[in-house]
Amino acid sequence: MLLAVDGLTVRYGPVEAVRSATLHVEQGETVALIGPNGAGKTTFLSAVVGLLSPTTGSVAFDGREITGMRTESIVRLGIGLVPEHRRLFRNLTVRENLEIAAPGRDGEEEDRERLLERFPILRERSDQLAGYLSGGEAQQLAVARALVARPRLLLLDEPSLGLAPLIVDEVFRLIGELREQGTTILLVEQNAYHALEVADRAYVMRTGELEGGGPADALLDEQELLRAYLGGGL
Amino acid sequence: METGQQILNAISLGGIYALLALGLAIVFSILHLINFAHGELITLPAYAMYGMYLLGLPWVAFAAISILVGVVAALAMERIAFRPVRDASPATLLLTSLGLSIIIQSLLQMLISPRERAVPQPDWLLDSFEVAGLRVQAVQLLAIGVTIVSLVALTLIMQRTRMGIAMRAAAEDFDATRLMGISANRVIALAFAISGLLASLAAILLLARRGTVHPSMGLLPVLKAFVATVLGGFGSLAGAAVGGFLLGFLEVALRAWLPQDVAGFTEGILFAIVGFLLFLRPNGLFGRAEVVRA
Amino acid sequence: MRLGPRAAAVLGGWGLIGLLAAGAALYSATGGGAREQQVTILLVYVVLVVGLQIFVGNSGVFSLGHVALAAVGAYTVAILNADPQLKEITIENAPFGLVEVQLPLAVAVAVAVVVAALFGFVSGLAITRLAGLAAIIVTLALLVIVRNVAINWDELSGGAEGLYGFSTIDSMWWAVAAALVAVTVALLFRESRLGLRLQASREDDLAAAAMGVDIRRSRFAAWIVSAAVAGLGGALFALIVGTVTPDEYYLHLTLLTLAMLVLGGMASVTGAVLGAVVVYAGSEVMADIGEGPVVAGFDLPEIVGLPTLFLGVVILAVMIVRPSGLVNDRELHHLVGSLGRRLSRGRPAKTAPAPAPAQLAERPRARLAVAAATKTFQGLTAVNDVSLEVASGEIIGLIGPNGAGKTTLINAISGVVPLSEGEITLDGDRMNGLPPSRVARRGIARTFQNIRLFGALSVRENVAVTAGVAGTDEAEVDAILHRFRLDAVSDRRAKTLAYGQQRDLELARAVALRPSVLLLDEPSAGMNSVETERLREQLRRLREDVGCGVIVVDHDLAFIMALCDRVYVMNEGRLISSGTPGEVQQDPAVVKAYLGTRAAGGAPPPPKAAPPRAVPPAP
Repeated sequence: MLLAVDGLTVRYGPVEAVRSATLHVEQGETVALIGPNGAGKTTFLSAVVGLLSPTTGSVAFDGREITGMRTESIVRLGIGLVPEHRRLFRNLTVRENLEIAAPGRDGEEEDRERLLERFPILRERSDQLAGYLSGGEAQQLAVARALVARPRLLLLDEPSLGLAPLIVDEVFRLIGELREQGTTILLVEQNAYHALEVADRAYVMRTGELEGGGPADALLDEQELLRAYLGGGL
Repeated sequence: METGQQILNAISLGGIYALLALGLAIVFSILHLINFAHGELITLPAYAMYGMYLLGLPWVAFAAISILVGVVAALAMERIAFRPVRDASPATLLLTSLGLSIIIQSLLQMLISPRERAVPQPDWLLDSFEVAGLRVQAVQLLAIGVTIVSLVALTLIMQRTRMGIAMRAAAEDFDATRLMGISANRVIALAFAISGLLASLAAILLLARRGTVHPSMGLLPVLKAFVATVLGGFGSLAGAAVGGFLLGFLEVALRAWLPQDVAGFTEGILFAIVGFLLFLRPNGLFGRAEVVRA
Repeated sequence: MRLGPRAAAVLGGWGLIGLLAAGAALYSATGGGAREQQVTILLVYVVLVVGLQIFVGNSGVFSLGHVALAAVGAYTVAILNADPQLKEITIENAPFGLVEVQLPLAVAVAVAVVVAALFGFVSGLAITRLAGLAAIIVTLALLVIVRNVAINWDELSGGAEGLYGFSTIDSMWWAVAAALVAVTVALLFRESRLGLRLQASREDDLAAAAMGVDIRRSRFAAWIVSAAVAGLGGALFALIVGTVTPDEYYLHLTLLTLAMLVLGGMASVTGAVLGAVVVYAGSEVMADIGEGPVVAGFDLPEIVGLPTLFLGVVILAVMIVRPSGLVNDRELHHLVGSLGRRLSRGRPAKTAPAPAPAQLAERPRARLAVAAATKTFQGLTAVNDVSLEVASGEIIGLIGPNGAGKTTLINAISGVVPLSEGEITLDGDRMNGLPPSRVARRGIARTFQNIRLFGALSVRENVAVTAGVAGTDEAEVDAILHRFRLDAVSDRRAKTLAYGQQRDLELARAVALRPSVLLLDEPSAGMNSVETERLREQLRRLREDVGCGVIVVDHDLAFIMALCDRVYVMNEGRLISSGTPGEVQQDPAVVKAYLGTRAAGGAPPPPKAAPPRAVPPAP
């Protein structure tokens, strides 16, 4: 298992936002974590990547315990996160946003070139401030930024958030491509259909509790989904 | 004194304030810490220069050692006093820096002397010469030169180097910066080191102007730097530099225009103006924050 | 015998000063004049620090300018009381005929206090508009300006050499009296309605404003009162030391008093007193050591600056180890009270049995109308032409996916954020453009997505803040606490409550405002199904008993559909559907917004390496 989360409980202020969550992602898989808002999905990812400390439970990456490690160290082990709302550095240019992501390895220049080829619009806007990018462009930059360091596990937090439907299609096409190339992906999404179509397996999170883990197709039925989201259908 | 002379004065004084304000602003932008002990980052390098003088070393050695002292002191401050309180409230951070400042001042008092000590400056520094009808002091030229070089160098660092970009990113979104695999501790240490460097440069210039060291010599400059940074808009580096120059100009202007018998009121009027400006624009001239109405 | 909180507080304060006075008397009885002067100065420091506490402790805003106000008091008493013959020498050109004036001591002190209060009034007009860093700088400006004027306006102040030749106080009992006055004023202020509102703003200024507190006015009042006490302290300081010079009322005294306040616990008057005692005593001890006393036959070297070092170490240590100070925000009567309770373990814990719950007052009927509301933030349209209505007795739901603009709309209705276009009216009165505190006072109350309670205040105090704003009486506060099952924990700090109770408290606090309309921002967040069900019942009963209109924003769709009379659905800033729960549930636009669409138009996603499955028919 590339990522193994066991019994993770995370507090956010006075709330227990995530309760005893258990989940795993195998090498090469794409796993979706869907669920309504406020369910705790972002808190979950923040804890995996070390921005929040869990009260109990553990996270292991490629067999190695990473619970409680500092974020920057976890990232250097090979986990990339595209955060919710992207969190681009708006006062930095597109190029600078990419430069900052490189961990100073050899070959980072080539990696960046590779990405600029992959995302030509970013090359075009290379010297513009990231704050002025459109939604779709910003999402591309956010993904590219996470890819610069060649992560072994890519975490995506609500990549379709705030994007127009056609752009959303683009984004999921990109995710599909990444999947084809063998990137291991954990995708957190509100947009259930898209996420399930691109994923191998899926979990559902509702009010802090995680369930599922079976094949994504099984949830593609609308009534099933509604039941999963609302626990009883509209 | 004629206007050209005054402008020169204003620029050189403003430059010193700008250097100090920048040092404060760099640390604030990332940590939200107002470092009152920044004054000690002036005092300690100045005392280092005093030490060099006692040892009979040439001025260049003074300058080099004092810069080193400034940087090391800043790094030590961060490691010892500020890291334990890193996530505390701004008020706690402010008071921590106050406590630290007092400790350093009193140690200097106790271990060296509570009285002023003279540090004679080299002759060439105290010289002045004529340029285009203006009487230019070497000190002023040095101040302006150092300020320009520092501003340019700082801009280059912030714009062109990876760590500089990391500092700008950290000022905007600290956690997202960590998500890039950048060490939080390293970014913070670098910010402090730069702030120490800028402060020691200012110390060299201030010492050239006043010629003595005193344990509390950093107090008034740091207060002025604080004022300059808030005027410019805390968190904005450009604002800090502008605030510093503005303060320098205001101070020189007041001194020049106020009639002799009310000259003593310069400081009071200066602060009154500052207070008024802040009243009009509580977030400073370049400040960003969205003000929530009460 | 049960004492009200005010009486208990003041009694505690007197007890504290009494203890201090007793200790001081004992100390000076064994040592003569020098010792008496020491304890008298200590008592004056107590007055100064307590004065500082009144503003800083209650408002949470730091002031570096209080010593300037003390200076005003000092100079006033010096000028008014000094011997005219001496004034002929020191300030012979004094304006307003002050050279001839000589007031008796008590009168001079009284005038000094009034003058300091006037200074407080004028300076407060500017200062209380600001908070945070700007406030610190402006109070610093006050300090610098006063000293600068004192040095330079020598006709009035005697310049840098200052003034002398006025009466001096030898006995410590005047200082004791002043300390008693200071402590009484501070405690009464702290326990007053105004003090409570200010403390609420200290805990959470956004929530305080949303609960109707006029933060600026509260700060202003605190500043003036605190200035008066500072003036008293300054006047006494002058009378004891015998001279007034500008440098005495500058940075060193400022840092000293600030350190004393912070060490003790800035939110507590008792803390202020304790801090003064500890720092002063420590300082004096350090000064003694620094003089190189002879200890066990050894002549210790003289060390200068030890008291100052001590001061710095104290501040640093407190910030690293215990930033909230020795006693945090507890007063003597709290400390003694808990001790008393611990000693009397056998007795039953609580007081008289709860009275029969009074009825919650009916609210006047009202209608809130939002018309074509639009809000743009720098190019992003968060709310786009949204209209909705709610009347008394209705519960309406506002739902929509993440980023739909719901919270922005709630913020606009409650006045936190101004609208770019459109109108919000309550019974025809225009509400948009009013600040949150005014909106609240007109009858629109709210809760917050991520609970904003006044954490350090007790449960009862949280509700009392809004009750005070709305004029709700004690009986109704009790009824509200009882209704929300908070009476058993009413004396506990809000931040110690369990999550569910915190949510209840937020609701109770909003209800105490007697709102016509209640805005609830994600009230069921973090709740499991049992808790959500209870919340639903609670809200239904509220509607029956109180009759206010309710707008609920939430993500728990089952909860919304079961609770609300009507539902509005937003997506990407626009209203995409509205109607009864049944109608909204059938609306395909709503389903699409929540669950997302298939890849429509663009190329289909690359095929998965899995056996093909039947694609469900498009909706």
